[in-house]
Amino acid sequence: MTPFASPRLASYLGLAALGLIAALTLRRSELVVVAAPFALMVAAGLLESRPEVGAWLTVGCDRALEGDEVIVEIELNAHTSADVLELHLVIPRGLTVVHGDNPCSLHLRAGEERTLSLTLRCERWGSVELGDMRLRARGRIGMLAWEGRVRRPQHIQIYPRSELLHSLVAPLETQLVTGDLVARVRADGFEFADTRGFVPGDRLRSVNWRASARRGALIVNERHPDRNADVVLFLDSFAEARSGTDTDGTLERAVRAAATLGGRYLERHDRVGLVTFGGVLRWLEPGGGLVQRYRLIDALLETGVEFSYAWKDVNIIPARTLPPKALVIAVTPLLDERSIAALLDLRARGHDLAIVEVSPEEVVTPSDGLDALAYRLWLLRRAGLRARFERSGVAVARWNDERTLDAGLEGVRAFRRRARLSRR
Amino acid sequence: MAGIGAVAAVCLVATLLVRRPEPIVGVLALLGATYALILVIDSPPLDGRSVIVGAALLTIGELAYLSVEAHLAVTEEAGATARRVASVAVLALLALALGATTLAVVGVLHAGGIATEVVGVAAAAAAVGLLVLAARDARPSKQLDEAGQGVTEGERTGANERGAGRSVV
Repeated sequence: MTPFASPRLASYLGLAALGLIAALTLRRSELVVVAAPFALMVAAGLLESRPEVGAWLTVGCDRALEGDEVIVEIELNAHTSADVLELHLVIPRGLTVVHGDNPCSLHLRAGEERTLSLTLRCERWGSVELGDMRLRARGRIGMLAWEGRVRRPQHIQIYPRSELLHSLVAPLETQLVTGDLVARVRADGFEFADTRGFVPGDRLRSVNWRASARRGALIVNERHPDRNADVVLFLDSFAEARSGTDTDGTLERAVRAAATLGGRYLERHDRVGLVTFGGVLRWLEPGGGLVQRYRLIDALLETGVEFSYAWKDVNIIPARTLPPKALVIAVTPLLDERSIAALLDLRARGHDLAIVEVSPEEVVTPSDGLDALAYRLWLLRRAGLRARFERSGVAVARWNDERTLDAGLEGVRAFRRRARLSRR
Repeated sequence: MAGIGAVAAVCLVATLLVRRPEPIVGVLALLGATYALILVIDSPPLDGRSVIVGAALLTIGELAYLSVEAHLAVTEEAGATARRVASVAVLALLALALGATTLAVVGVLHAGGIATEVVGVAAAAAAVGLLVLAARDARPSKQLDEAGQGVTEGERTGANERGAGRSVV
């Protein structure tokens, strides 16, 4: 711990010196008597021994969901007495103290052990490091303060909370692996599709005997197989919009949407991949299962808006990350030209694309006059952009405070029932 | 004298209201100067009130600093203020005892002549010098509050699982 002088040290030192000099100058011994207590206080304060205090941190859990509360315990062990010990646990962004005092001040006797408890609420998803503690101890005289820093790093993974979602967007084409999705093609499966005449090679168990008896010829049942799909979540992290530091921006909501969608598709035995398209490109090849779910969440927790001037297009995305026939769901605020161009490029290359627009329009509150006019022009421009995507066959689901993610995706499903993927 | 004392009292109240520790030393110096002026004007042989004046100045200073520090952002545990006030009371009593002892020694040495005066000057200079030397390495203290502590954000690490990666290009 490093000693620092308290404001009293310089003051009392100056007063003692002033009193002694005045006593010599004015030849009045009484001023020595007046200055003596101050000089003694300074001398006693400088002779105080350095307080020795140990601090340890225990975190209740290392994984939590947004909104959960985590209990943190700080154990203090004083080898020597500390008349006043001030302790501050640095709270990283994403956590807030809901119970307990931070910073706090306490008195510790020599050999005393004390445990402080803090309850923290996880306000924002992310991977946070907790354990940076600042200590300041003072002795009984208080002329010096010893300040130190104790690092006991503990990591907490805060997972994004799930959004309400009843049904998912089905891809136009399925893959060859068995899953929960009824394919459009006809093959061995459970779901009845149609009947047709028997041809050599058909299995006997496929014969529809009732229809065969009615027609007088062998008729076989055709079925839709159960397949899975490849889904790639395309997360736009070029830019975000937020109204303040304490409120959720579009990126927080986009990550929540991506985590919800990824989890739901994985539950349906689909393979899910991730592309975070922004200042830093991150990708995760499609995969399935619980391990992939944790990989996906871990990759999402690293997402942040990194500022970059570099122009990027879909060519920099590894080809294996975007497999053929994959459904690409873009979660984007549609703010950056690079991500808009990349999405149009993806569609032009024949990918099955749907867009979840995390609307930034509610974040902006224009004032009167020119601001209001500019805001209206901006809204018109965004409407034009959405129309441009829809003309390309890409459904855009708007998600804002008034419209849930589920309602937005219902619009996508309705659009895709009417529109069909066109190939060049 | 009364005017200077009143000015010092007003300055002390203002200091406590603005909750800044820096002007406290000025108030104490002003009160001490008032007492020195009284000594010069009245010129008593050896004023016994100096013991009370020294202890009172120390008590005023301690209580003023205590008042200013009590308004810091750090939440103190229950009973901390009472404990510190008790410490100030003990310090005041010690200051009284020290002052009385010093006054007695000064009274004995009062008629010591030039040799005693030289020893006194040397002792005073040595005391001031020692105190300055001892305090020279101590750096000014900072306030500990929630703002401006350099919040450490968790270090970001790139995904290193199979099939995952990152690129800054």
